Amino acid sequence: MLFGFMKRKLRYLLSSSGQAGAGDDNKEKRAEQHMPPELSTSLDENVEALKNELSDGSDVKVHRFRFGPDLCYSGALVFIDGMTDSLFISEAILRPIVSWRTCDELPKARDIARTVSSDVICAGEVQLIASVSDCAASCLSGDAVFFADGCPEALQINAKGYEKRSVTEPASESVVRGPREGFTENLRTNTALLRRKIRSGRLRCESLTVGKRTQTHICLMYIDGIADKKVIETLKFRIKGLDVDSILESGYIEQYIEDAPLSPFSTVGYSEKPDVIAGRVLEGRVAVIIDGTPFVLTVPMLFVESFQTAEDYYSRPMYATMMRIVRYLAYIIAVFAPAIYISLTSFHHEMIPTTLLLTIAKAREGTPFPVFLETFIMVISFEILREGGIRLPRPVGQAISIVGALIMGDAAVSAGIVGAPVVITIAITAVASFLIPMQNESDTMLRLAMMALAAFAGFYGVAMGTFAILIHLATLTSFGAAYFDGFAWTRNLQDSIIRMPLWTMKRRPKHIAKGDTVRIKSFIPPLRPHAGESNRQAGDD
Amino acid sequence: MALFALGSLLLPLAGCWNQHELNKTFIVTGIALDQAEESGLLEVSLQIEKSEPESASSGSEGGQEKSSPTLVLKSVKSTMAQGIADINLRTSREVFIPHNQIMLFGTALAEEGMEQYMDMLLRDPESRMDVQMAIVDGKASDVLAADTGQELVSGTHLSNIINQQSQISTQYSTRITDFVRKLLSGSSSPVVPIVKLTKENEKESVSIEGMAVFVKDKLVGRLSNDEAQSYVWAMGDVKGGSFTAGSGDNLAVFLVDSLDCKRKVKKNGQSVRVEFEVDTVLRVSQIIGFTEVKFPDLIQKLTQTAQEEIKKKVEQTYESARGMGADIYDLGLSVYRKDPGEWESMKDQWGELFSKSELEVSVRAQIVDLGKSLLTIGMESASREGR
Repeated sequence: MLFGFMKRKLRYLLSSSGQAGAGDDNKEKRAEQHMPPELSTSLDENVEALKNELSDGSDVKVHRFRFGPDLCYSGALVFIDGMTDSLFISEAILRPIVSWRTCDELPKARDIARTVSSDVICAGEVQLIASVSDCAASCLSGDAVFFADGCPEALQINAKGYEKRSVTEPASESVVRGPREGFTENLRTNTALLRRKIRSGRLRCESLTVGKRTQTHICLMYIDGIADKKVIETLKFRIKGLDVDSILESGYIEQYIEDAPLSPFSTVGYSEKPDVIAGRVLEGRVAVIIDGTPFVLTVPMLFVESFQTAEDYYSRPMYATMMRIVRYLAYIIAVFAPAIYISLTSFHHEMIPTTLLLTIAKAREGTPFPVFLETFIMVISFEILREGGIRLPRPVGQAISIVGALIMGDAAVSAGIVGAPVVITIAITAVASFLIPMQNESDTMLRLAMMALAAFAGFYGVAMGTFAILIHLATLTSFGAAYFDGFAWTRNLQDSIIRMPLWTMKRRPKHIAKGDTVRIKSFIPPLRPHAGESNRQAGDD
Repeated sequence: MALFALGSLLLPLAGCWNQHELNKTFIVTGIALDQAEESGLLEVSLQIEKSEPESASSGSEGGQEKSSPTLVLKSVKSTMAQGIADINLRTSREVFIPHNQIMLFGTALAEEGMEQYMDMLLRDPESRMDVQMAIVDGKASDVLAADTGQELVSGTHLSNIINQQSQISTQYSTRITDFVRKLLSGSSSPVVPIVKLTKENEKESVSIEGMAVFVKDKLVGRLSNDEAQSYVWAMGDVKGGSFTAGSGDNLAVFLVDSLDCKRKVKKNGQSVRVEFEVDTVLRVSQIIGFTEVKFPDLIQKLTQTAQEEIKKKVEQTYESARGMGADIYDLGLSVYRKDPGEWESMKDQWGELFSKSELEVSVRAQIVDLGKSLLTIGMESASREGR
């Protein structure tokens, strides 16, 4: 309830400020449209204007040359060093232009750019542009701009060739079985990776640019006819409404567009693996690919998605189901284990078997702090160690983990600062929390909240907290889909806590896919091979 | 929003404020009640598990004499509740009763009557009803202080011994609820195991020595270990145990595989006839003698011996129970269950009827297993000589 109120308030504030921002933007655009700084016919002026627009950076290269029959024209090629492929510039642009010597009829000075584009150079992506700001934008995105003296138009030639990482195995989601390629920081590589998975003409790719300073390219990819149009519209509305300075990572977009910005639960999914994203897109979700990050967002996101891995669908259904149940169990342990330990040892001694109670009592003897403080210290020191392990360079990280393991696991216990059962509880909690990377943020937060409740009111507090979490989860939505939808009896349950065999998942999830919801039209049932054979014979006839 | 705030104010009203840190509690593993030396007063003893930090105890292991792992706190007050409250006041920590393993009563106290002590155990929300009960031959607090060397805590040790026996038959153990249920039935007599503390070469050990028989809430007599066994047989549903049968040189030890008994009460004018029908499956564990018996007759002979032994024992025990006037077999209860109307008419004179009752025991034994060898060595050689 509290979250809901804050959420509504914030959404109101966000939407009103967003609209105001959008209005300003439109005005600016109109002003630009009215008086665009047009290119002049003078080569020098144009080059100067462009250099000015690019703040005369030291990496802006201007190459002037004479060309054409009898070298009667002079021109210039402007590009930013490092963003372009120099071999491509010299071989595909400069060489044809400079070696252009003959023509039937000399073109007029103002048509040179057109002629060069159609008759001379060998580049694949060439466009005529007429304003200084367009020239600057194309330079900044890694294109080369060709000017000719006497021509009020310029040529934007795609010569992008900056350094980029190759497709490697993603570090955040490794698999035993399944494709090992992962997205990279390059937008085009990523869209291509996705297209290679889904070779369908209906896979649509819509480009947007967000960020006043960063001009980040964003690509929405979805399958036309499966994805919900409302989701696409909402997504576009939210992204286009953004008038922000910068978008550096998918996390920026996620925080600007998510339904519940103050919830501990993330309502936007992400993945680094093309096969995972392809699977989600095929279920009717929309992928948001952002230039500069290997993490691709998908909406809408359901709670069950956090517990699904790509490998679930590649391994046998029984095993996948078992592992999925283990993952749910691990999440419950990650959230509740320290709280249950606190409740048991400070409120409900009756519930522990006598022998275990005596063992715990022995371990507790002589420890200076109350159980809650003891557990809290351990949880916090674990978080410190984990953070240290992640941020530090790998060799130092190992040292941290050794020191941490010794201090936390052994020294603290033998010195009598904390009891061994606490260390065991925190250790199992920590290990369990690694099983669900998608919900890592939520379980860390909720664990602390639950611990506080347990210290305050024992199992009663934990039960209250659990109810609060469940109520909150049940009210959450993600782009029109209910966050908890995967657990509803009326919906498709084949792919929630259990993972049914693939041939039982005949339809796409009802709550996400709209339009063409049939996933499997016909198949030979694997359980009845003879029936299958007779079918096949009938088909042959 | 206001509703939410008001609602959240209601939450703490549910209670659950009894937070107690584990290292600020004394976990009670045994309670003993005795008559104090001053008349009319009660000595309450609580056995507490001394929880020393593990590192300290492991350090002192080398050669040094280990101190007892438990602590016995005593208080002399007029009632049990006051005694526990008094101990609570005098100690540095809170006494925590729910994990109590055993409830011990001194003989002298049991002879006086136990009803008043049951009340506190039933009323107190912290104490549990399924705690084992035992009568101590002598002073109950001595057993709590005993260092048995088998288990760390003698309370746990005792309840484990009793649990071990109740694997054979649940009749061997009596929980507080069992005791109270028998008291409430009006006719049945509770039977409670007797614990004896023996000291040999400075080594103390506790053992179960027979069972105490109560009439109402007062201890009136005892059953020896053998009598206790046949009492258990008569109650049926036995899953183990062994006994020796035979006479003179011919002895056989039988293992009870299963034993069941049907108890019937028949009213015969002014007297009551009780019928026990014992049905048992036995295995042979050891045979001594029986040299003159030929193999084909052996099983029959053994069966007969076993049947006679069971019959004799059951009759003897019944005899002693009848002598005490204690209906330990729940006979009154079975009459009531069968025909409440008839029980109404017998209820008032049941004590008299029971003490004049006649018993008829029929035993049907079945030996299913002679073991790995069929005959004894003596039998083999005897048969060879005969050939």
